[in-house]
Amino acid sequence: MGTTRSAIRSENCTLAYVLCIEGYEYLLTDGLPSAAVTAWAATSWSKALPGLTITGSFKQTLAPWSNEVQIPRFKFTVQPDATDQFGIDMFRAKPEVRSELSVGFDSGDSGGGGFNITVKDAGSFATGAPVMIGNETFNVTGNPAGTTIPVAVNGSGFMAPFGTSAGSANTLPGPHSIASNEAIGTYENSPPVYVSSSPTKWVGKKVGLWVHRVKNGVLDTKAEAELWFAGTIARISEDGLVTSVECDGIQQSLVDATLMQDQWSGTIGRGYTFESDDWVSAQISTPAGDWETSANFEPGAGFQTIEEFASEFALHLDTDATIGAGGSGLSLRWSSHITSMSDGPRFTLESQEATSHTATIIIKASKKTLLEFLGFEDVIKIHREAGHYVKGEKQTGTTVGISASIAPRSSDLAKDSNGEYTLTINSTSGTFADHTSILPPEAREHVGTGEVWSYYIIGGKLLVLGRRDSDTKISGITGLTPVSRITNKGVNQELIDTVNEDSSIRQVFFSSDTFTNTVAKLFASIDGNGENESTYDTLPFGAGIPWELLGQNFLDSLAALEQSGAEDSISLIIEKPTRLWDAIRSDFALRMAAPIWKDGGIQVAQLTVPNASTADFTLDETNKSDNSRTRAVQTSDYLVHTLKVDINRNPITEKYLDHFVARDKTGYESAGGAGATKTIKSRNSYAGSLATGSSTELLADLITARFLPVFAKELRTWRRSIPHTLFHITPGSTVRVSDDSVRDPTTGQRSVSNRPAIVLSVSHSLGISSNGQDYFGEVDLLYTEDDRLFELASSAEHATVTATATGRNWTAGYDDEVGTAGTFSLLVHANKFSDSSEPNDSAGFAEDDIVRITELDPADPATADSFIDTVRGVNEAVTTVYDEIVLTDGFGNSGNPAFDSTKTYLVNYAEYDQVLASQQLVAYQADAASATIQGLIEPNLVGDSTKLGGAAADITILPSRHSDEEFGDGVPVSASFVRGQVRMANNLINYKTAPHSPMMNLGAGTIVSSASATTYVVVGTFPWPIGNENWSGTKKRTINVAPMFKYGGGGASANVRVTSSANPPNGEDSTWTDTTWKGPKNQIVFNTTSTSYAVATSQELDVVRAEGMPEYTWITVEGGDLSQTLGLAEFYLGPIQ
Amino acid sequence: MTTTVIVPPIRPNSIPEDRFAQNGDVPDQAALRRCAWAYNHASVHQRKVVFARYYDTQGTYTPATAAETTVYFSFRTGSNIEDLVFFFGLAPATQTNGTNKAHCQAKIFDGTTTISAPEVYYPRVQSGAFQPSEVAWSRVRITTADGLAPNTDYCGFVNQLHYSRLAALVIHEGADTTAVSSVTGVADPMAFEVNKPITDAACQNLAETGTELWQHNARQILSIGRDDSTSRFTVNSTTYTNIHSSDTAWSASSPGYVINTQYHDTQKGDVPVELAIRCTRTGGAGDLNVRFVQDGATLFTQSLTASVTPHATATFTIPAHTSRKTDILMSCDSGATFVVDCIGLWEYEA
Repeated sequence: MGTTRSAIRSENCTLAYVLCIEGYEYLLTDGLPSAAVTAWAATSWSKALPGLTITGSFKQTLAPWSNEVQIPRFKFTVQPDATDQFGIDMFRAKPEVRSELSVGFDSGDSGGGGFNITVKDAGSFATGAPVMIGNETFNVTGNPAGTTIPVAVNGSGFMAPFGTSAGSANTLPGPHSIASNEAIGTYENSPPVYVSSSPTKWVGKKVGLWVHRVKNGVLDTKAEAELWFAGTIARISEDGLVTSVECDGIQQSLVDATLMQDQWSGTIGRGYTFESDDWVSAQISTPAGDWETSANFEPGAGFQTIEEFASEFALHLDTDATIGAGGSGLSLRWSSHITSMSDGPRFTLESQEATSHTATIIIKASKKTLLEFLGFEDVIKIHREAGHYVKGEKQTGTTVGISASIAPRSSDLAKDSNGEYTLTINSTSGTFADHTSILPPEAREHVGTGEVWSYYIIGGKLLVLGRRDSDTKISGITGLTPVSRITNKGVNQELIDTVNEDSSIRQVFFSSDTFTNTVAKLFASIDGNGENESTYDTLPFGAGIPWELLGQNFLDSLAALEQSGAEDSISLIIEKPTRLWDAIRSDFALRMAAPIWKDGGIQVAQLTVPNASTADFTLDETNKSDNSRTRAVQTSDYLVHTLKVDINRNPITEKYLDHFVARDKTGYESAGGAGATKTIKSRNSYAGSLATGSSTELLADLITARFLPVFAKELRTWRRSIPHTLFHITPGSTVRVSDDSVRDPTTGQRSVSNRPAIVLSVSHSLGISSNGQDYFGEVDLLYTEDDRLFELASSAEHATVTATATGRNWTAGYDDEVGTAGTFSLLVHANKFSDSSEPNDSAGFAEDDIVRITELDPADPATADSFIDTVRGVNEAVTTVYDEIVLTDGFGNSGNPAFDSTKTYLVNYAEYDQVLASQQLVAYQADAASATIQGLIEPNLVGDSTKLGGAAADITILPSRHSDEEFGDGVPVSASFVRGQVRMANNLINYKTAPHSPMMNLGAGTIVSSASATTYVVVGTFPWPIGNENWSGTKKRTINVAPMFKYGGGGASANVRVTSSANPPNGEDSTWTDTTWKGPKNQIVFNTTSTSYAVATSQELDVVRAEGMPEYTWITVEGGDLSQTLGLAEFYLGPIQ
Repeated sequence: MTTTVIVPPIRPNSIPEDRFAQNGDVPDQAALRRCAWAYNHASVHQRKVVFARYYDTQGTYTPATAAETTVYFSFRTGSNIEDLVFFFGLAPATQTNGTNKAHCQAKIFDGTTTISAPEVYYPRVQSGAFQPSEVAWSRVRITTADGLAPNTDYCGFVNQLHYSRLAALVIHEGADTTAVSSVTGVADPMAFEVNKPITDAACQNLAETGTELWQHNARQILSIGRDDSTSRFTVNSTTYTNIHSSDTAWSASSPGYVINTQYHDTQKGDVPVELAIRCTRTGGAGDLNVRFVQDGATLFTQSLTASVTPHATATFTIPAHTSRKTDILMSCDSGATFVVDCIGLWEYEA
């Protein structure tokens, strides 16, 4: 019987509408309510109301360069029945029972299993009756009592028209929080959230319009019906007696959704967080010119204001045994405080003596930042020792002192042992969005196991990366990541200055992931609990489009935009609450793509260059829905020969710091250099050293190679009618057009045949229950004058197997029975150049075809075995697995090279002038000089794939060397040629040219003698080239490492540790023992108990690129106590992962 | 037509053949253009590491004399090379010597011409152990303007002068980010854009570049060089002996190099390699024999008469496989003594 979809697309049929509103117990239909209820018998609905009519037609457009979402809109009107039920329900605003929600919950609480809604008074709610919060309805089980309303299993999102990935459960849970009563960073009011016994609001509820085929008065079931429209209620009104519900398409949620609407923010603490080993001391010169130094003052770990510190430091010095009041060296009274001076407050340290004295005071501290915190500038590092100092001027008097040059820092800027800042946050609000796993690759290099990292904006000025140790502590602050460099060149002084002025901090969402993952997560995420879909509902914000409307078709359509598979990526920076579509609109525009409605759900369509042979639909005279002639238009509406793309957006100032220009020079000059320039602000694109994710360079290449060749000249369009059987055509579909009335672009005469075109726009109406709107369908088609875009020439690959069949015998895949009527059979693989669901490779060849047999992967490209032959027949499955191509002459005859059982052969078409006319309708190479194929015909053109598929490349497939027969005037552009290049490219960058540097000591192994197995001593360190490349998305490369070492005895075992770091071992360290590294690092540890040398089991070391020279990583080899290391026996760069 | 492009430091994503190279597909700019970019990425941004070694911080080699020639290395340049980069980690000189101009200088020669890199000075003196803060990192180059040629065998060495010491040395190739399609080993991505004619020249350029890079720009597998005048790598026995120890046979505990050649062959199998050895016969007569033994099985053996060919190369094919420890054993004819300066092995096909 089929489905409504198959019926609409193949025949004339009777149809009826059923409209479903979220949480509303009645269905609405233009047919019999009882028939609608029957069709929806397997759902939560058992009631229906009649009188539905629909106003509006369905229109979708994919306009080149546009970055707007096309949102279909429908108006549903309902005639009142005898009870006026619908009108009553729509305008009744206050429920019989309501109670204030007292405990908030999210989709993770409510999704799946049953749970309890906690209200102030549940006693008045009816047993087993649904309750509502906002737009959501909950199915209640049992008796609400006390403060508890028990919700049934899968009871949240009850009566939602669309479900999650769980499908039939038909639930779509959402979060319902109560006001936080906070006004930090954002300001919000705190109205009560009510749980009610009936809907109190309708605007915003989701609606679904299904079309049911009606056969003998019976509607197709809901499962068989076609979802025609999905949206949300935008407006409800009364027109006379009818009630009207105006709805926006579900795409509206892409425009309305706000990302980071509950952005985490806080205030940096006003003070200094001391580490346990921090110290400060004072040094003062004596009358004899010597120096006396106090004992170190150690404030102890913890947070202190500057006044607290000053007071304790004064006490410490005043009682110091050497320079205090009773000091053995000098007897001085000390004070330390904030002094008000003419140019502001200053930290001051003073020594006092009853009689005048002359002296100079020095303050030493364990960290530079500590002195900077006090307000000292020009802090000097103590050469090759830990610590820093500032020195005052020589003074004479009863009081000698030293004052800071600028006002004391007001905020905490402690440095950790790696020299990186730590921030203490005093007060926070909002929700932290943990997206560590999708941070840009350069940022992920900082991330250790189990750590949470994020970008932050500090003081509204600096973009930094930091480790979130807790809600009140952020450490490892660095500004040396790609986009951070836009706002700051480092963090030291700028951070100090910034925090001093403005101590606010807020989280920045900064991801780099595949285009599919990024967009799917933004579209599907409700609140990140995976309830809508486990893989993609992972962000704390998003459009929350029910997964039932997205699904695999949506993912496939996204993957189709990724030109090389699942790896292409985009960055996304959200530094403040931002509308979803505003965040990604430029990424869609640059890909000439947009979300559309297709096959009952949301998909993403893209404009591509069409070709007739791979078109999705055929449009000809037989499938016009009216008698109108096709209208042809030549327009410059979409003409763009120069595209300026603004890039390198400063996420703080929102200024674009750079741009690139993609230009079609021919189009530019044709237009006389006038007009046709467009600017796109690409908010997530960065170039050069700032690049991360999908870089500007790749986008520029995409635009120049793919879009400008088509859109840099005036466009030619056709508008024609389509019948309802083709209403499923969407923008971005490719079509093959035959039309008697339009003019052939080649001859100018009327009539075209099998001309390729792409659909720009579709509009249609079924014309039923439509308030007078007639049945119609119309498409706008874009076509080009070029018609030489042909498919690749077919290829087949010889199967080098020994096989038998009845009366047949193949050795190494060849059956050569010379003298027996010439059987020269070459076994070929069925699907080396096709999917198993498609026709076999051999189907690309037919009897009498002229083919060229060529050796695959010849040792010398110039001397590959190769000959031309004629196909005598093609037989599929001559063995269980393989097909055969029967040749006329075969190997070793007519001057052909002999068959070599050690070789594999490719079967391709012969040269253009050799083959049959039927074989000439594929792509051939033209002579570069004459731009013709053997002087016979115009050249074939480079095309643009419309093929879906997001499977990652198999980079382990071995490459092959080319043969000279693969190129030349008239040589086919075969599938085997493209395959050969693809394999070679993948192999070269992943394996063949990847560095490989095993290294061994030349003498005995290095013996380490240290305190313990976990005390490491650097054996050696060196920079190692890893190639100059940024990685996209979540990709990374690792170094395969295996040291050769042994345990020297005397303990239990020995360790060797290998580190990849951004910097070499810290030069401030005085020894190689337990060295430290500035910046990010990754480490792997090898252990052995063996006293014999052996190569350790190989491990993968995540690469951390060197600071300032990203084409290197710093490698350090360390030995633990009693380890004896010969070297890195294995050491090579692995493929992209 | 010659095309000049800037090759961005962006790793091209891998390309799925199932999507672009099947019967019925169109000649797609996304596939063909990206192949060209990938070739150029390999040609420009992923160059050979010719030599890499750290020196023991706990016992760095101390030059016996004020001027020594050490750290020999052999390599073959790839196509489209622009420069050879020497990344020195210099430790303080062990003692003052005359004017105390402690420095290192790298030199390479192709059998006829010697090319010198700039001298790298580090006159600090610190006998015995040195500390992290005392390592000076410095890069110098030999460029094509100096005479460096593509696809050429070279042997090189480092002069350590005035008792200068090495903490690490890494040598690698470099290329200009501006790639010119007429240069061997560079592809023309601009040949493949929508609606552009598909020409024989474009296809030839693409096919030949891929094969060229596979044959001539593949990685160096290992690079070993002695670090003093004579004491290392002296061979005077007719029994094959490990280059790093007294082991006379491969064993799990004998010093060796783990070589991974998986996916480094083609459809036809096996990995073509070139072996280079520089040595000097310092006594007696006869040949030097060098044997690579992998997991106990001989990979190949090469013999050479050092007095005649102090720097010799030979080509072999080795099987593609996952990681295997490979020992280098050497012997010589009775009565002879050889000093081996360096051994290099790289993937290469003529």
